[in-house]
Amino acid sequence: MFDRNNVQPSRSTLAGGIEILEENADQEVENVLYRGTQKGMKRLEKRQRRVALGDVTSQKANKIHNAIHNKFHLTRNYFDKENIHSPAIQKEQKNTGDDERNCLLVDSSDDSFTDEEQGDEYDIDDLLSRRIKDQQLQTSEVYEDSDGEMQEASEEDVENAVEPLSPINNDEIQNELDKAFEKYFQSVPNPLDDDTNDVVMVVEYASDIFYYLRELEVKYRPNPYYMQNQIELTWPFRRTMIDWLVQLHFRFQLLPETLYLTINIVDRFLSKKTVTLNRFQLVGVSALFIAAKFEEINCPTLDDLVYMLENTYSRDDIIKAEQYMIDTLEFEIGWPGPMPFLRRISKADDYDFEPRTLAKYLLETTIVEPRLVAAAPSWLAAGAYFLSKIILGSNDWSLKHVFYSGYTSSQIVPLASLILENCKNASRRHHSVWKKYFDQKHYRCSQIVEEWILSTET
Amino acid sequence: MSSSSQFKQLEKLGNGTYATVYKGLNKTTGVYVALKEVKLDSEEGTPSTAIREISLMKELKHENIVRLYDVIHTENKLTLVFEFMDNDLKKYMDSRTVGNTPRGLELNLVKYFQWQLLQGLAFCHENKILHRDLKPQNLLINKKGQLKLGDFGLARAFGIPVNTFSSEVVTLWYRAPDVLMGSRTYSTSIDIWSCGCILAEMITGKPLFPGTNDEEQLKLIFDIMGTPNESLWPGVTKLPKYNPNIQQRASRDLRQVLQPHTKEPLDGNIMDFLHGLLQLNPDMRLSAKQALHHPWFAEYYHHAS
Repeated sequence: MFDRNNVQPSRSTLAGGIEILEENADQEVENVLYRGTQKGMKRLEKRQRRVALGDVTSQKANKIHNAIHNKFHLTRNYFDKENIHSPAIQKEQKNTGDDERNCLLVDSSDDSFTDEEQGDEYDIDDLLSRRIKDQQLQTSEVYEDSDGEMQEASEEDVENAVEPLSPINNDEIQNELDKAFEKYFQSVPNPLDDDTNDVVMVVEYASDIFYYLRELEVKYRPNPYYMQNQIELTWPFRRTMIDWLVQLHFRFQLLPETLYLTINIVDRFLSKKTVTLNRFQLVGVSALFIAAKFEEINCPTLDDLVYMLENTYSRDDIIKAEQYMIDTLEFEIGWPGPMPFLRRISKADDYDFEPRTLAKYLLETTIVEPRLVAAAPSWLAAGAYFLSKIILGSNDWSLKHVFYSGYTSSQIVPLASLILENCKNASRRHHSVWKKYFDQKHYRCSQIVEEWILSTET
Repeated sequence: MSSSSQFKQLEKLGNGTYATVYKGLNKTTGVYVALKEVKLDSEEGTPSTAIREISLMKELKHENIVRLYDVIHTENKLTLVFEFMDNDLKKYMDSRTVGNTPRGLELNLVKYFQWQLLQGLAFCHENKILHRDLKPQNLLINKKGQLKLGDFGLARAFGIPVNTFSSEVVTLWYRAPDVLMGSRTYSTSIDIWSCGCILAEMITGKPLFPGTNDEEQLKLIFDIMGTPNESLWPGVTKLPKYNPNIQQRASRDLRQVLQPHTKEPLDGNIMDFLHGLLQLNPDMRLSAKQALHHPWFAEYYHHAS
């Protein structure tokens, strides 16, 4: 019964779906081996294996890579146009010259994605185009090659050696958690609490449900070291892919829950299977398809997705990949994600709108961070909310916050620091998230964070 | 994961919301199962109903929820292997009809079934799952008198606060008035209304509100329960499909409606309990947890604890 050891996917069942280069058991051995291996060794071995497999030569991989990169850029440009006035685009075109990517950009200018009703103007044209240029330069460092050999820039070196971040625990912390529980836990709903009479808060079940969600977040945790088992994938690729998924998700106007679930499905799948680079985007889009089916009232159709992919993959590719991924995850899709936890913490401030809203941006930046791949969503929500409060100028993490978040400040500080660090390089670290939250619709959250960072630096 | 050759397919048991169900025999263990087959030739890959049903049911292991043993995923078909149940509540009640006169169940059996229904439902709600399609056809029973919730094809997980959902849920006769009036912020109370309708149906043997369309359904409900207004149900007039021109009616005595259809006397306890489930205002309905502590169940919970 649902024993994953008995699930035996064969190559034949995957025809046209996701290519599997290795089976799982081997990976686990390697996983152990790899953890102790030196960085350089690892890279060397990776290269050797790539050649040894005879499947994907570095040149081929590189070609695929460029193709995907262009693809990502194509959609990125769609996205840009929605939020930037046309002068910004003009400027960008001039600045970056006339390569293939920009041809794609020009081609896309007459489609329905143009948002003419850009009402709220803020003078960011220059800022944006400069940043986009920066971004492109930055990505070129990583992606572009001169001699057919894939070049690995310094960022990748750092990121391949990522150590996952998780909350510390000790007696002192446990005492504080216990104290918070004693003070605020109510076995019977409080009739004076507004929530008690609000049917959507399901107060009667809330503590049972949150207890259960904390179990689920552990159960559905990806392997934080999975990238070591991937032959062709790297953390920067994951970053680029997620960046693209954020745009796709935005384009279809899906729920935040769907985005978080998508990333969880991708990471859990990659924890179990090795994927070639040319199928990586297929994994991403299929994960989005599955997550949307689980979460949304109206799910994007296959035709919508194929259209957005510009026919990189066929309908049949997605159907097969979807089926294979669902089987690999054994239909375990019900991962809670951080949103319920964020709203729960917000109760400590009587659901104050500002810290929660700003926290949504900070929370979303965590999805691209390799060190947080396996971080518990409850902890991520606590970290984002904590930092949000600091940015908004209130530094109290009361016992009430401890109770509703389940974490003490000493558990959260390292996480909040990491989130802040990423926000300092926002346009590079999580470009699409940053971009999305620059908009009035998202209360210019990323702008607020940036201004705050600048103000602390001067 | 089993392979389909492990099971011998026997007679067809029925058509579910999105699948066909057969009786099956596990050839290695000799145990009967229910095989629910979902065709995968759909335009959109694996149906969302199947993704939700399977992922949610894997989480739900409870004696009053039908057990999902296994899933067999092949190229063009998805087979869900369920615990086999002898019957469902609908067929069981139909089998008791004499001539054209439906007959209700004995009240102690009604109570036992209702207790199990609410136990299973409380477990779903504690595990943040709404069933959204409770009706006699989806309540499976066996010869031991056990009742289990089945068919989670419309079920979904909810967050807190509960997101807005589709209002195209629940079979019409069992659909709550707030959902009928277009509310999309329903919660666990949506399942409780269905439980109330099912209770009344078990008592009399016939559906309480057998409407043929949304409008008639609301009319049937208001005919008995009275027309809601802002003082009884704050916010009702703001629901998308609220009809301000609807004829105002006072509520009728529910006991007088039901009593002619059962030989046993309906006492104050059962009527109070039923009223607790059939509140028009969703905020006023009992929760499954509260319902299980109602005095009508005193003999059970005294036993249980």
